[in-house]
Amino acid sequence: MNDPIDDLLTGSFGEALRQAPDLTQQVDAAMRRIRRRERLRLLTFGIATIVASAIVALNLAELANLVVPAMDTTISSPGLAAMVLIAGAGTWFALMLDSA
Amino acid sequence: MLSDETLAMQGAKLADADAFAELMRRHRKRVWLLLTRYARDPALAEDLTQETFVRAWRKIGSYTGGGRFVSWLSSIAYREFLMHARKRKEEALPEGHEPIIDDELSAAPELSRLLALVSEEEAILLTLSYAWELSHREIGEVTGQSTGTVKSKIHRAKGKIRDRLALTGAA
Repeated sequence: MNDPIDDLLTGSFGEALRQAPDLTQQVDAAMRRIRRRERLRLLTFGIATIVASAIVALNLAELANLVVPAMDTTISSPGLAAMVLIAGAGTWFALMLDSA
Repeated sequence: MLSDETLAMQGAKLADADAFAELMRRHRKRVWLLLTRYARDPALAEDLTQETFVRAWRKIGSYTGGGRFVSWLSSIAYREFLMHARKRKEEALPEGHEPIIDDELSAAPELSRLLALVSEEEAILLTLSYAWELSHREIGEVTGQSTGTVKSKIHRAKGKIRDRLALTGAA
């Protein structure tokens, strides 16, 4: 035999859930906040990637100078840095587009 | 229809916001109902529900698929409840103040009437048991109590309701 208090609680909680406000606006608002946060995260990640890429590129150029002194990379350093910067920016935009 | 657990893993592993949104749509009313135990004002409970969703997204990476998603989500909502309840206590409200929902404000006066017969902790345990449909073991994991303790507290709460309704001749 069913416990009447069990039945009463099951019925009352079921009714409360049915009568609860729709809350889809809260879900939508939360999702907007979540997506905005994700975009910000990707933006931060993108900037960090670009900066890190530039640092690595410049260091690689310096290293090349040390290993092969005859190889003058002073001229090619900015070019190399620019290439890596473009690659970093491309990755970032791809991630931004993917998350949109 | 994909299971909660599959959607949650998509959210956790692939950062799939659409899968997560579907989960929030499925469980929004349960989260709200738990948080109304803290907030007297249903509008405040709605704001806290939104806050809980954002917090759940931040923590979705910690969902490993080891248990039911609903149990994991309830622990996030429960912590949200505790955090605000603690904050309220610090805001120097009179001692012994308990968040009892006004019948007029409540979406379900019958439930409010029943839960007013038990302590706040018991009301939370009953909510997790009947609205969230968690097992005693899952409730224990969410609230940090042993399964036996949860079982006995729920049993006691039901006894209180039975006795008090019998006294008033309502059941």
